[in-house]
Amino acid sequence: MVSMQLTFQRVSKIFSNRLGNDSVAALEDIDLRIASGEFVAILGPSGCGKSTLLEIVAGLQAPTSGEVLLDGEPVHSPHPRVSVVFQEDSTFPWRTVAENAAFGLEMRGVRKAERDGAVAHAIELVGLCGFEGHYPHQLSGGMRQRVAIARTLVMNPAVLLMDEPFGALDEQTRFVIGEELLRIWDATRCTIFFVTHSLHEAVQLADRIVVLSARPGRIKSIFENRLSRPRVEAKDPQTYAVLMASLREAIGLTSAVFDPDAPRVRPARAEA
Amino acid sequence: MSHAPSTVTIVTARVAFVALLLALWIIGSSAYGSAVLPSPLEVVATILQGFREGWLIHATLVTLSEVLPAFAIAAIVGAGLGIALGLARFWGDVLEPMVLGVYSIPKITLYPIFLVLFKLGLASKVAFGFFHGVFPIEILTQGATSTISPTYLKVARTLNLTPWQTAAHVVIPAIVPAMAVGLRLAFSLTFIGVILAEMSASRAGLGFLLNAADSTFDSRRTLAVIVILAIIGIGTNLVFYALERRVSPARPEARQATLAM
Ligand SMILES: Nc1ncnc2c1ncn2[C@@H]1O[C@H](COP(=O)(O)OP(=O)(O)O)[C@@H](O)[C@H]1O
Ligand SMILES: [Mg+2]
Repeated sequence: MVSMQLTFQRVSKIFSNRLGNDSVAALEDIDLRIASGEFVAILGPSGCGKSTLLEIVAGLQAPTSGEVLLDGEPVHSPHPRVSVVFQEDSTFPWRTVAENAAFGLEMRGVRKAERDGAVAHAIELVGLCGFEGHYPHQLSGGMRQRVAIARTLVMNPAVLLMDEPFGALDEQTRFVIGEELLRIWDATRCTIFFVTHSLHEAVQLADRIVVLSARPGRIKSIFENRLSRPRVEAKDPQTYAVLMASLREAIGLTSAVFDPDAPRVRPARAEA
Repeated sequence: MSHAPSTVTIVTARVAFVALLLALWIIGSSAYGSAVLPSPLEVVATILQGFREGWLIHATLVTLSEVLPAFAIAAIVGAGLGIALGLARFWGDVLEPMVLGVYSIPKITLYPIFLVLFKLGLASKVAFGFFHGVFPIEILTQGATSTISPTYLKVARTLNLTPWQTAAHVVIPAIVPAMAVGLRLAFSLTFIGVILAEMSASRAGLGFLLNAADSTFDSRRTLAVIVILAIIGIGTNLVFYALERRVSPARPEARQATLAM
């Protein structure tokens, strides 16, 4: 079995401090079904509970009520077939690219001779051939996220959870690495749960885009994305514009405030 | 953008600087007379004499035999306590002000207590050297452990690592650069502690020799001992710096910690 399906059943999360006098409702009644092998983007403003939702799937946090099911089994702790790519740099600076990629298998006690093949394959998939012996500090931010992705790929994940993995990258790099992620997804066919606050990224990558409301995060609307890949605006400006416009409307914010990637209208400058 | 000066330039400037200091020393010694400030040559002659007659070698060995165990204990206790208190947030928070409080006391004022507890010989020097040197490594290790990236720990949790695996493969490698800085400072401070203890009350060692030379106004011997102290201090520091560079493959935060101390 290559990938797994994910089911959210009325998932809610309330953070309360120890005294219980101050609580934050982060998520409310999340009901969602993600098919095996699907690429779903979770889109919502900062602080709406996207990371919390992802960590609940990862088994790093428990929901206050409700359940997340992986192929029908409730998640209580980190599942061996679920891998996570975090927003922050999570590569280990004391390990080379190859050693970082091998980390998970090494911890599972897989011997070097047996894991070398998987590591080489993962490094090839993320396009880091030739950098196996480099240390993270010798790489750009985008390359370090590729290392983090390679580290998850060697585990042959059924579900890949990604928390704004390219949030710290510039727009250009983000687009390129996004296309590579699609290629990897094509090759592995795992289920991808992709958290982002960028409309462009959600449209570029996902089959379905789930829009969350501001805190507490609730599912506001879900969009099917039927644009053919690669999804560049020029290919089908009409459909692209309609999808963007409906996403913007769902979010209920002006694009300039919500989406830092949106092109800004600059005041024209008089040329000398 | 300015170019970083080459290693050759830096070394040349260093040599020139040392030559300048030596020149000032020579000028000073001829101005004040060699009874007050003996010349470099006279000091070298005294060191050679001390080696021939054995008293300088003996004192150096006595001091090293106190410094090394004191440093070893300080390193093990400091790093161990630092990791434990860094992981056990509660106890770390409870003890932190006390650790910092004791750290900021001029520790030599407590030496009489060590004398009473451990008598005049080796044990009191080792104990005081340990006490003088244990703080920086404990503080640096604890700091590095408690501020370890939460993302690293999440990676460990998503992979279902055992606590032992997390310690050995995530926590310890992450704090090694800070520990290396701590080791260097621990050695310096242990060494200083032992010398201070020897100067206060002892029967042997470089500190004892320094005190004896001072009280007989034998400035040649005084300077000879100071030169030996400097050689030990600089030599060990170079070794520890090399260690630091090895364990921190160009990690900027480790460099900064080095400079900050
Ligand atoms: N451990 C926690 N304790 C208390 N509040 C938290 C905790 N983690 C997150 N929150 C709060 O829950 C809300 C959602 O956080 P998060 O899931 O990180 O949002 P997002 O990833 O969408 O930016 C935020 O208001 C945040 O302050
Ligand atoms: Mg987040």
